[in-house]
Amino acid sequence: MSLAFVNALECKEPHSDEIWAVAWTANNTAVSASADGTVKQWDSTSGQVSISRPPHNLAIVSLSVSPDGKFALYNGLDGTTWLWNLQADTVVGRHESYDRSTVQGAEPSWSVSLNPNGTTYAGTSSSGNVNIYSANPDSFGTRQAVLTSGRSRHGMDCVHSPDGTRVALSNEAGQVFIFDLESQALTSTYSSHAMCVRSLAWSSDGQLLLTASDDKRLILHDVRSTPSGKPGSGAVATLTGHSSWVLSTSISPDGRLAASGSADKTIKVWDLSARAAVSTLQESGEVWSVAWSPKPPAPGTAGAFITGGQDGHVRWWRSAGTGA
Amino acid sequence: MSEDVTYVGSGRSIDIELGGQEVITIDLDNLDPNPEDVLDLLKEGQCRVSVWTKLAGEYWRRGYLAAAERIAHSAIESLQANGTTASSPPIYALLANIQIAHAQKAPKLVLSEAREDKLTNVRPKEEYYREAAQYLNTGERAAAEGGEGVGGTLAFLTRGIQQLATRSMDDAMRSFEGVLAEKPTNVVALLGKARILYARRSYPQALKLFQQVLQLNPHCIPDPRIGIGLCLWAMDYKSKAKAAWQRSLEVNPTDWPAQLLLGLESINASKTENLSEQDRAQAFLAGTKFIEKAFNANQKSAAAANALCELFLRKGSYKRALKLAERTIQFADTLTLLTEGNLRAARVLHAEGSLKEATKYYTTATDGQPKHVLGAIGMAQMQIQNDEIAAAIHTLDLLLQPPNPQRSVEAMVMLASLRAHPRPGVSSSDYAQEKAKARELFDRAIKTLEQDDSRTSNGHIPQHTASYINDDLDMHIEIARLWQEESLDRTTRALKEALRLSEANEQVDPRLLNNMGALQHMEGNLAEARALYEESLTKAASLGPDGEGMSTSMLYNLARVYEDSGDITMAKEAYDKLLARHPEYVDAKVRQAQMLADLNQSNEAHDLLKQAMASQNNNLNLRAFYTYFLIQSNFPKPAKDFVFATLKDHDKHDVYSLCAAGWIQYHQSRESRDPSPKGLEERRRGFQRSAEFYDKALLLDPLCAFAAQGLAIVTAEDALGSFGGGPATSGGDDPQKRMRNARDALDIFAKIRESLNDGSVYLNMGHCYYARDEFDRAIESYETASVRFYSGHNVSVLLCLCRTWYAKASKDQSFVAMSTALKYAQKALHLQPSDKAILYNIAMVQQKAAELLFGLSPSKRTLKDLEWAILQAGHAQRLFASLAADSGSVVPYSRDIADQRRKYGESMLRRGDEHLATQKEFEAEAQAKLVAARLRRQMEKEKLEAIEQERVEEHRRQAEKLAEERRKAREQAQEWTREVQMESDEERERKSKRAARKVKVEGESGDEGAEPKKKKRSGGKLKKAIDQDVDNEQLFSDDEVDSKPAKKRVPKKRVVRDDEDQDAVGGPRKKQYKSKEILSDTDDEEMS
Repeated sequence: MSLAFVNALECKEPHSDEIWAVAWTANNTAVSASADGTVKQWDSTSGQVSISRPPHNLAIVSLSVSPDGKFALYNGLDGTTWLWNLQADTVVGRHESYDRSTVQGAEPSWSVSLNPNGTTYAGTSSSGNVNIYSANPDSFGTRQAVLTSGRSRHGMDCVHSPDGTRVALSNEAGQVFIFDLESQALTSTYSSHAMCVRSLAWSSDGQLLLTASDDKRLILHDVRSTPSGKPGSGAVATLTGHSSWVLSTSISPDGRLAASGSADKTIKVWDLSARAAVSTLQESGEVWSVAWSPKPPAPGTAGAFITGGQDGHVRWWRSAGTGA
Repeated sequence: MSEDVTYVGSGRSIDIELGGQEVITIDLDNLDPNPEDVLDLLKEGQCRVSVWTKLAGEYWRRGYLAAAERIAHSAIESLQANGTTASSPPIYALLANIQIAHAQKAPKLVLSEAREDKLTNVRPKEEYYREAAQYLNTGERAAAEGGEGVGGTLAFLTRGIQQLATRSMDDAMRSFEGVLAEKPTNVVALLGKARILYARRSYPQALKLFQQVLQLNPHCIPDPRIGIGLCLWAMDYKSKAKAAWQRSLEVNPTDWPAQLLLGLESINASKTENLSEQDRAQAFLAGTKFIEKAFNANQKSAAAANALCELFLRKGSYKRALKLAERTIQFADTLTLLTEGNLRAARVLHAEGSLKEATKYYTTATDGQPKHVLGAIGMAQMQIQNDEIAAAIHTLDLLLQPPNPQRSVEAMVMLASLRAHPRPGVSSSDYAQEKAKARELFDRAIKTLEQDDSRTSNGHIPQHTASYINDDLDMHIEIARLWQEESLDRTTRALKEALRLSEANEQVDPRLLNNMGALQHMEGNLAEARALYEESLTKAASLGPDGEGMSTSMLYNLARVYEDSGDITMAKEAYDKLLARHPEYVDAKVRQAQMLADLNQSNEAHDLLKQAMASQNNNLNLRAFYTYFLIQSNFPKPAKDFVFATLKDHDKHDVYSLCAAGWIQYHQSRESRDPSPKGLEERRRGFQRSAEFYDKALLLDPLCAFAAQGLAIVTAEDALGSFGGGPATSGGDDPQKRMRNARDALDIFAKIRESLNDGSVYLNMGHCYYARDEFDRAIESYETASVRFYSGHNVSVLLCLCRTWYAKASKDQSFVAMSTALKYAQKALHLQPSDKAILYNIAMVQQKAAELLFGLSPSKRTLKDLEWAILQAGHAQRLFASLAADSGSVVPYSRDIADQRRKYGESMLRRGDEHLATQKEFEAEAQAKLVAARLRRQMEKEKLEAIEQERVEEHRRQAEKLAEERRKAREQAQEWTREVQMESDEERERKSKRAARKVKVEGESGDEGAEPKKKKRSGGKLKKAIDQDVDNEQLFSDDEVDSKPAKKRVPKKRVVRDDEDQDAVGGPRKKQYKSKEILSDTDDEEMS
């Protein structure tokens, strides 16, 4: 089976440096965070910037949007975290996680994820922990919990499960951990990769977790746990085909397809049931980030996603055929 | 010759008077083969000399040579008895000629051990010639005694013939010339001269003489048409030559030379490729018949025997061929024939397997004619048979090398093949040389073949030999092998050719396909390689047990292709299959280990390698890989032990291990941080040992790029000098030394770059340029390494780039460069966020950027940059604070220094506001200046406009005035016109003429007008250019303080001055200046 995806739209005023994170909001806008220090929101029909933040003096490395598309959480290379109200275009929270002067044992965040319920956010650190901070504008950045993986390797990515009950963490050694937020316990550990995992993606039903690694592979994990709390069967499929590091991944809202961006300068779309690549799109540089449209695809189409990468352009892709 | 001879009708007779009364008539057409009766008669009749000679001549003509000789002897007896010896010279001449005739049928030399053509009781040519000479001398003596004087045509001719027969060409020439001087139409002398000219290769002259003879005597025997034909043949008029011989055969149907020549012509024609198969067969048959006939007509002719011998040789009738060859040798009159005879004999014996005897004949042949292709090749073959390869090479070399090198493709190919073959007692460097020579020879051979190929279109040179060589599968494989280490391109070409040939044979060797696949594989054409491997595997499978062995390496290759195309699963399956068949196939195991190691699963990889090591502990390749694995997996200590074990127990000359040992030693010393004197000493010794290892590796393999690179690194870092002893001692010459070392190393790296396609070379070059403060070049090298080899994913290269931009920014005082440095640092951290040292560097760069701008005068910075830099530096303060407070157990930087940095930044930033104020003031001032200038310009412009306005006004007034005048004039003119209307037609005509002329004048002036206009325009342009210059000048003076453009201007001026100097001086100094100019230019580039 093969699916064709076409470049439907390209942003009008690209970033002046690489894009390191993108997200597609429920309001059909795209948000991109770049190495040039800026974060921009784009109109998905015109490709124009709707609102943008003045540049931070260092690159922005991580981005997470709320399910309702009202808030964007982003984090700088140094560990400064912002919460941006996209509707009012105001920064409602700013936290310097690297500031060790006030909080004992403070750790700079690298990757951040906003809890779908909007009350907290998670941040990874170089000690291998996931820190849970308050996302409430009044107490923004106040650390509420520390989830320990037990491995002091740098946390590359963390993502909340769609229902907000769990958070997944991947580290530079390739290990993947799942924490239960309520019990603040580590529920599963996967060592399917032996090399850095830079990106994680949950399926919308929260049953599958896709990991993208420097070992050129993506591995699909079944993360369902039995009622008794025993972890799921783990790695169920390996997606091979990229010829360099896999930098980013995202699962389509209907759970049928996954997209991945790689340092081999391609984007691949995978059929998760067939466990095979169904489309390969050539880019001019590393593809640092992919994100599916949260809107389920129209019947008969395969949906749409956005990518951001080395050339600073946000690109919209949709399955060929119908004008979804 | 004799007046006594009377010709009556067709019958000829001679009358002999007996005792004055009786006349006996001898019928010359009916001579009795036995001359006894006639002899008695002649003796009785005491005839005159002429009668004797006439009769003897007649006998000779009939072929009764012996009878003629007897008659001649009797004549001498008779004359002596009569006392009329004085008239005997003609008889002696006759006798001499008879001897020469004998000689013609006598062997030149007699082979004592001839197998087939045994000649017994025969006298060799020499003897006959000697006797002929004796007779001639006696005749001359007799003539002298008789007082008739030496000379006379007959004597001269005979002498000439004798000289010709004994190859005294010059003497013979003189003799014949002598005769011709007296009798210019003497046919015999003309023939003789023609033959000499032919032998001297003056074909046109010889041809003319032969034709003259034919004119003088159409029935001349020997037939001059043979000679005419030979000359024409030699002059490449082959069909005319053939016609001449055919005519000769018509005239003298029993004459053998024409038959032989026609036979040879026919056989040659049978080799022409553009004839049909049938025609060729026919030509060959006809030729064979002719040659057989010729040989039967004259069995003593070496030429005929030679030609026939070739035929028998082809037929495989070795016995008869040998006999004929021996005959050729024995009767050969010329060196060429002798050589051919020897060669044929050698070939017969060679084919029979009598190698010793064959060698003898080949030796004789090559001694006689060292440049004879067949001889040399045969000789070489014998030598190869006897395992005297060097001698064979020498033989062929002699053939192909000057003087007079032969252009024999066969010999070239043979020699090349011999050279390509390793022989005992040849050193490896000599062997490499031999291989180079072999390659060259093959090249030459193939080029020659190609040339011949292009020539065949017009000539009719037989080509089947060429195509035979070109279709030699083994040759192409050999060529491929020869190039395999030098040029894959050539190897591919040769293999392709071989593959084409074997495909044409429909018996494709799977190994060929496999090799072809490997070549494609190395070229990176993975899909092609895969297809070829797969095909070779299928082919091998059909071969049965033989193919089984082949398929092992093919399967391995296939697995490698899978691996290289990223198809890890397929590759693993293939290796598994291979290992299931051959569990000890360590290469496959090594690849599996590598694949695991690629996934960072080093424990599993290690297990596999241990298994492999257990089965083949002595395999140096395996040991090399294991060393590599240990180093890559960061086990320096086991790696070191292992390498030393390899060198100690297995092969102390293993280049790979030597390089690895060099690297390990170097690395160990470099990482050693022990500052104690003992530690320093250790460190220095480690560097020394490292250099020694590399040195040894280079000694064993002078082309080992890795060893060279290692040594270059040691040189660049001066590890053996001050650096080796720890922190560099501060000294005046240190930087200079560092520069020099880096320069030396760069030279080496530049060379290594040619052979080692690896990012590390560029990385090292970058380091060297960095050490030499050539930051732009360093950046270029690092960029090449980063982009071309590591696709921007190598963190340490990115950090090198950051460092270089940082250094460049500090040197050039460039805020932009500093920002670039920051960018690279961020990229590096993004790839490897766990490295806190990068974060430290980021803070450092941020702080430095502000410091840099603070150090600049306001004119060289902008408020925007300054504000941004202060913001960054402020942020850096927070980062430094965070870094200093990091509670991690180990941090890759000093917390204290981080704190010091923060404090330093604090005091620095105190001046931030001050700088901002200054900058604001400056920029406001500048803005004010700008506004003022703009205002001034505006005012000037207005002033100019006012003047212009005035001018326009003036113009208008004048125009009005003019218009008024014109109006008045027009009125007047109208008045005149009214008057004129009354004038005559005649006058009107004249007027119109004038008008025409006027038009013409106008046209001219129009033309003239065009040119000045043009000039004007160009003038305007020039002015404009000058204006621009002035503008530029102003720009600069405005921005005087900006040093960069000013700097650039200086050399530019210098260049101009140089040009002027050149013009003034000219001549030889020009060059000098030019080089200077270029130098200064390059300097500029480096600086900017």
